[in-house]
Amino acid sequence: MTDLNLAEWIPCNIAWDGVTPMVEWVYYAEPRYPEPFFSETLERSMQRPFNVLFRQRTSMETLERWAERSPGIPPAGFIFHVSRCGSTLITNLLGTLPSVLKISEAAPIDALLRARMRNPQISEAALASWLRALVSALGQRREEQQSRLFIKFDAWNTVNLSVIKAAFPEVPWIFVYRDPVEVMVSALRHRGAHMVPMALPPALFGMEIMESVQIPTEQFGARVLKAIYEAGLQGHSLGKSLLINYTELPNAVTQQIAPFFGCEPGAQENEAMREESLNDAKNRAIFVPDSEQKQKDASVQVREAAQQWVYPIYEQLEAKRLKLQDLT
Amino acid sequence: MIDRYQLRFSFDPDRLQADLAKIHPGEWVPHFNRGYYEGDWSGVVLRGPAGKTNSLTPNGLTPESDPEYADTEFLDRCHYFQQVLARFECPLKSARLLRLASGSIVKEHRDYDLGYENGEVRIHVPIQTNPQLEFHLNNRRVVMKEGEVWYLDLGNPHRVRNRGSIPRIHLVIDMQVNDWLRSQIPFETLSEEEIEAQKAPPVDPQTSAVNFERFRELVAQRTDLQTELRETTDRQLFLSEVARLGRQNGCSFAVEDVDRALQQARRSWFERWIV
Repeated sequence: MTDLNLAEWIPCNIAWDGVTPMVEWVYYAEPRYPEPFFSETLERSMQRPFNVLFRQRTSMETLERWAERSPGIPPAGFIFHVSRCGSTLITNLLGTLPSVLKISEAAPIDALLRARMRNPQISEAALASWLRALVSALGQRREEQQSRLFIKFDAWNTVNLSVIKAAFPEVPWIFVYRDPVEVMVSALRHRGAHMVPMALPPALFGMEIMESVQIPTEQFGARVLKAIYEAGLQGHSLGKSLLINYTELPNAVTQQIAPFFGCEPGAQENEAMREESLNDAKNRAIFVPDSEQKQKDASVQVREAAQQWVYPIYEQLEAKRLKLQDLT
Repeated sequence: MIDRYQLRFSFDPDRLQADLAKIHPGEWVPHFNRGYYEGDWSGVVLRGPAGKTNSLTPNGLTPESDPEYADTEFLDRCHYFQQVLARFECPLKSARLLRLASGSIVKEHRDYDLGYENGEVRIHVPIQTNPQLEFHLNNRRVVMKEGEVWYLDLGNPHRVRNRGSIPRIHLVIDMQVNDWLRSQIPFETLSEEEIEAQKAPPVDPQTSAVNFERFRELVAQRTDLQTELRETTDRQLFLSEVARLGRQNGCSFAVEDVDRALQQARRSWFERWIV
């Protein structure tokens, strides 16, 4: 590419040319990413033949040059979570603020976070620089009033927290979690990639390939969650983070999370968030606490696996969270 | 065949608008095909299938049924509209006022039941419009001014976007083709694009493939080409538009090459997870 003009183009995929990662770009000119998940925004774009046929492919160096030429909105907060715990609700509510651009579970970010598994020759410094450039390209200011970028990562990206912290040491983040039995009941019912053996490298969760496919589903799920809860707990000791339990939602969004991220929503904005939390069923974010039902639905296997692997860490998280709340 | 043609007569915009004012705000009804639009697209039936007062469907309930058409009370009120309809010396089917509010869009679609071949065509008479109204037929803009009379072959993909601050209101008339209408509209003339495509020398397969890749590079560089290609959602139209713009920019290639490249691009998008 001789003349670098990627205005209104966003990264849609990390493709590999042998051991070299490349960025694929798609045209996108809307003021935000309105769908609950970034992948849904991309799929909508791909309904247009132009966007399918005229995707562009550039090097990582071009991505970095673009970040220099056209820096995105600086990230104001990251959302890490254990899945099935209200993190989409939180992100959607923050996304109602006019000053906010939210990005939810963007596959290019996820792919880049695992780039060193594919090519160990990639240095940590290069990866950090690429991550910053990728976030900058996805987080271009799309409307004048946008000044805060929030990124919700995939649940399993929590195990890469140190990589993300290295690239963005200054960005505050929250870790959202929930009673492990409730997460497991929900996650096994509608499985994300992390709940499907081999969909992600088992090594991410400290498992060998063979054991990951041989152990019962409940055991596999519990060990994945253990790794995610553990990463959240360990990351928390590094600071700049806030622990949020599902039980605190949705009020925690306006009372704890927004202030923690430096947003001070006005009465009108709080009202918009409240409405979004109540009646936006099309965003599938309608919030109905369902802990009781989830607990009832849990099988013995789910309970045992959760007890064995995840509860000990959950209890440590709770102890930290509640102690912090006592102090304030 | 031509997809658009401005007839040689026109109507008085002031008198059209004076009749328009006789329709009350509450008498507009939303367009029946809600999947086709975003915002506010509504209408008033001046003439339609008998017994279906102010139902915006231009036809009978089923494609086979050929209903009787009758004027409505709205047309009774509007004497100039009556004169306008009388100007067409052919059997009239439906006549509707269609209003697209500021900021609204009609998504790209084809009206399959219309067509010269089927003996039924649609005429548009803009009553109120604005320079920011974008009507695209076959991905090419049609600029229609108030009082003008336009034949549009809407069996082809078309879309409308009202970027202006006032509603666009057209009188839309469906009529049967007869000798008089054939004397007014040269239906069977080739369009400019068809003539141009016929004149283009054939390219051998190898050159065609190379030219297509050159064109892809060109599109990455040129925002004007991007703008021209990215709005259409109709696959067939998109393929022929890519070929047309390639030809116009010195990269001739076959539609088949675009088709193949699009299939390949879609496959690689779906298979991006498989590593």
